[in-house]
Amino acid sequence: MRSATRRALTLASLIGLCLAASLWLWQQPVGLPSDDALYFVRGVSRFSVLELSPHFPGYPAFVLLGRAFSFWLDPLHALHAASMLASLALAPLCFLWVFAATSNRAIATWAAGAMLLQPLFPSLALSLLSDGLGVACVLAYLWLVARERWGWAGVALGLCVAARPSYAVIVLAAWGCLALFARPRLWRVAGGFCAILVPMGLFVWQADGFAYVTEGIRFVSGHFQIWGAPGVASTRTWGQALLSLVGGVPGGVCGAVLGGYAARHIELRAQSVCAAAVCMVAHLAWTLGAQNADHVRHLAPVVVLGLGLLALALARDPRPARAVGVGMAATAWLACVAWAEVDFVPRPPPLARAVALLRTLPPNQWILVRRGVDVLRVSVPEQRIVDAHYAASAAAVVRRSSAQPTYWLRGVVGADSSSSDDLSGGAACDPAPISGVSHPMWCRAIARFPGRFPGEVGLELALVVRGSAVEKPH
Amino acid sequence: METNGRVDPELSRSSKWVHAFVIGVAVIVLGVGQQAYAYSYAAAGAEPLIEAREATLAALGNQDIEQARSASLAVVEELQYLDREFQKSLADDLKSALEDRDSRRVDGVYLAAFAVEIQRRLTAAGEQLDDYQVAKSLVVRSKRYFDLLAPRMEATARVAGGEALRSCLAAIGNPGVFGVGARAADAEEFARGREIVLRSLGSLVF
Repeated sequence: MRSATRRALTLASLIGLCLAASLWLWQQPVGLPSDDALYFVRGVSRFSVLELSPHFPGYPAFVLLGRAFSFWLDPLHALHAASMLASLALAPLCFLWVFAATSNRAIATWAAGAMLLQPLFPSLALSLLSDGLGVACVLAYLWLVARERWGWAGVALGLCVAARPSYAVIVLAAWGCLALFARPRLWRVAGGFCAILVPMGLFVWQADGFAYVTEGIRFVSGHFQIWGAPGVASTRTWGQALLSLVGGVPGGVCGAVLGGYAARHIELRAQSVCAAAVCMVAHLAWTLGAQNADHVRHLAPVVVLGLGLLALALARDPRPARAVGVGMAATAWLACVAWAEVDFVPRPPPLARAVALLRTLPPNQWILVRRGVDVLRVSVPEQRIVDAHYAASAAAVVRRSSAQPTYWLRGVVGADSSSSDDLSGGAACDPAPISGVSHPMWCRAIARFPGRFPGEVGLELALVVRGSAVEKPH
Repeated sequence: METNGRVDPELSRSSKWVHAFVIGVAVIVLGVGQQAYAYSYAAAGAEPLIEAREATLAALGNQDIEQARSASLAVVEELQYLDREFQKSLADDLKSALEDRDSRRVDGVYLAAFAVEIQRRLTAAGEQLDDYQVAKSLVVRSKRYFDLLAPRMEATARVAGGEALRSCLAAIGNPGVFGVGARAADAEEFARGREIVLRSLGSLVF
């Protein structure tokens, strides 16, 4: 086949893949899926880290991208467009990286498809968070390193930190690779890096001044002691989260076999491949040690870089027939683990569905909640929203408001989250872990809002039924 | 193909270390973890009154009166300060409620103290509008108390108070960078917002 025809076919395949993914994404209703998304939406219209608008460290690149879209759209839709387009960019960027590293158009096209098929793609595109843009910047960096465009590679690294500061570990690993193996190019990368980070830093600083530092200390200590500490803020371990992501033990075995194949065939002596492997390992260690296992999207760089490395391994396999077989097996594995859990009926996020239900209740109901507290405060101000992080205070609310019904909105992760929505019969009756005292309260689930795709935490609204551990009500 | 960007040949040896590291991390972390629950970002940062209320109510729930007294002891000085400055009797009320082991009254005293804290911080912020960092920190921290009190207010007061707090934040202005993008504080707007917040606290039901 002629080169021009091959190029046209590749381009057509890439556009087709992106269009198919875009069509599915556009069908999804827009809504606030989490407090973090609310903070970003606020940040688009008024930036101040102290006001959680957005939360620390500020994510200036993502907020500015949202602001660019806000010339045409309201802040919520602007942020939705920003996170969706950044995630869709993963496919062409991965294609460019793999093609620059291997010159193999077919395998680069497979890698692009894998970006859209991987289980975290819907989560990156629809969570209204900065993960998609951060991963896109990592792929852009690898492509530019493979092309030896060192100044622009620095720009991509700077954008990566500015979009997703928790990818600082990836950036440090990239700097480590550069310092060890590409020292003469270091200054050019540093130039591009600073060209982005200095204006971004000033943008953050102009909103809060020195108060930003105080908020930073509070937030970082809170991250390591509460919401980022493994086993403190999450409802499951990373082991459980990983298994659910790869489709249980059989899926995990498939993933391990593919990982072993990739490790055997990749060429670590190439700059971009070495950088990808080191960044992936560093980010995996950081995520497992210092991130909340309820949010598997934190593993997005590991999944994306892992698939990119698998594509590079396929290109270097001396037996093309085996490479084709492995590629097909990997595609089947991705399709099974990624899309088996997807709810193909377009629905708003679980939190938005819960808000819609709470709006139908009479005003001034007591709602205990640990997930999406600020979204509820803003979206249903007519209800009494109680932050159940303060467990004893929440239990005091339940005791004192005996004359009024009290509701408990709680997160449901893992297998439970995919259960049916219909609980009108009040079938479930579980002990609610809200008391923190010697008389646990009981609740009866009245509505369930399952996650729409892998990685999205579902919610359950329950009516609190007074009782004790001794007398379980029915 | 990536031909020019070659690295030191010794690097190929590092691949073994990469594999060993991945496996090691996975083994360690897969085995660690326990059941726990979600969070809100307001949970971090020391607010002694909020922490004392939580610890005291938890101890009372467990019928541990000594623990409850000990938890409240940490904020007695702060309550006495509020009593002096705002002509209240929070410290005595708390002592009496603890003696009666009445958790509802104890909660009420703490919530009343939260309301006085909001008043204190907004007043102080209004007096220090020329110091951007101090003023903004005071308003932001008063919002943590407001969020905990909001469920005890009537819906209209809750909405009005929340909006007024946001207008207070906007009225503080902005320092800018080396004067660029700076916005001066608006004392009148701040005072208006403060009044609405304090009025909304009047609808509290303990």
